[in-house]
Amino acid sequence: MLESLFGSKTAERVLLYLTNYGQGYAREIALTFETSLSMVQKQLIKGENAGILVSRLVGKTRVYELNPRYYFYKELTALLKKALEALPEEETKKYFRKRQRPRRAGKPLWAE
Amino acid sequence: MGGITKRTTLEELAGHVSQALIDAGVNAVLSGGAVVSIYSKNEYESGDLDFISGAGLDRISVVMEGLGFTRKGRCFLHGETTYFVEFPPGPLAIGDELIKSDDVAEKKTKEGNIRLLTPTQCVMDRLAAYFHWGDLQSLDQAVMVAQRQKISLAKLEAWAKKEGMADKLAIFKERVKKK
Repeated sequence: MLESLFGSKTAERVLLYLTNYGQGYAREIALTFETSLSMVQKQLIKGENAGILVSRLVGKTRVYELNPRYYFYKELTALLKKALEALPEEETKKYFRKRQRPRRAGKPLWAE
Repeated sequence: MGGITKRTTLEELAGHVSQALIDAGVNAVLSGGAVVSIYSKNEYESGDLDFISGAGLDRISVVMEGLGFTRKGRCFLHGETTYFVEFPPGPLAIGDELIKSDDVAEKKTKEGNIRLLTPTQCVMDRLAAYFHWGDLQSLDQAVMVAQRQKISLAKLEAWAKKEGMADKLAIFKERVKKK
């Protein structure tokens, strides 16, 4: 949808992911979209160099988010939110509705 | 004025770099932690100098290489100093407020003139990080500057209100009063 504007499908997906979930790390984003880890990493670095994204280390993982201090932050997030709303329902369910609420460690997935 | 040596302080280095950029006609403004170091008389010690410039990195590189720096991405390193100089992407803005290049401060040093954020802009810059990420280091730095420099509380209040952060500004004001 915004692929041509952002330059690549990966760039679009990375930005949509971070808008939808608030934050994310390369492996998690790559797994979600079943895409190449190196391409996602490249986009994250590119976004950070441009000031669009910021990152911090959480343990050994570099977690990224949209930079709220980016001058075009409000306009960019408005555009990305609008794009998220316009996604086909199937795509929304597949990529943008991952469980976010907590789950106790060790809790079985199904009652035995 | 001498060159850059192991004994060059952050402020002296800022003077060298800023003057060289001015001489080359490159508009660049010192921002971030280095400004806190200067205004807090080094109570906070920054390890890097962030200059915001609309000029392309290739043009900036020529100036920096003339001072003995070597480029690594957006950063410039110098063999004689552990401080590094970075040129983060612009524009120069704090939140929604775009800062015009004429609205910044200028500080004269032996090494040259430093174009830098005003004390009020510096406090806003630090508070923006506190507002967005709850970063207490940034809050402390804003307080350090406010306690040592003359700042415009009216400007801060108007800006914080616009950002929807009036409650967080109240915490800052309390801390400034405490000393």
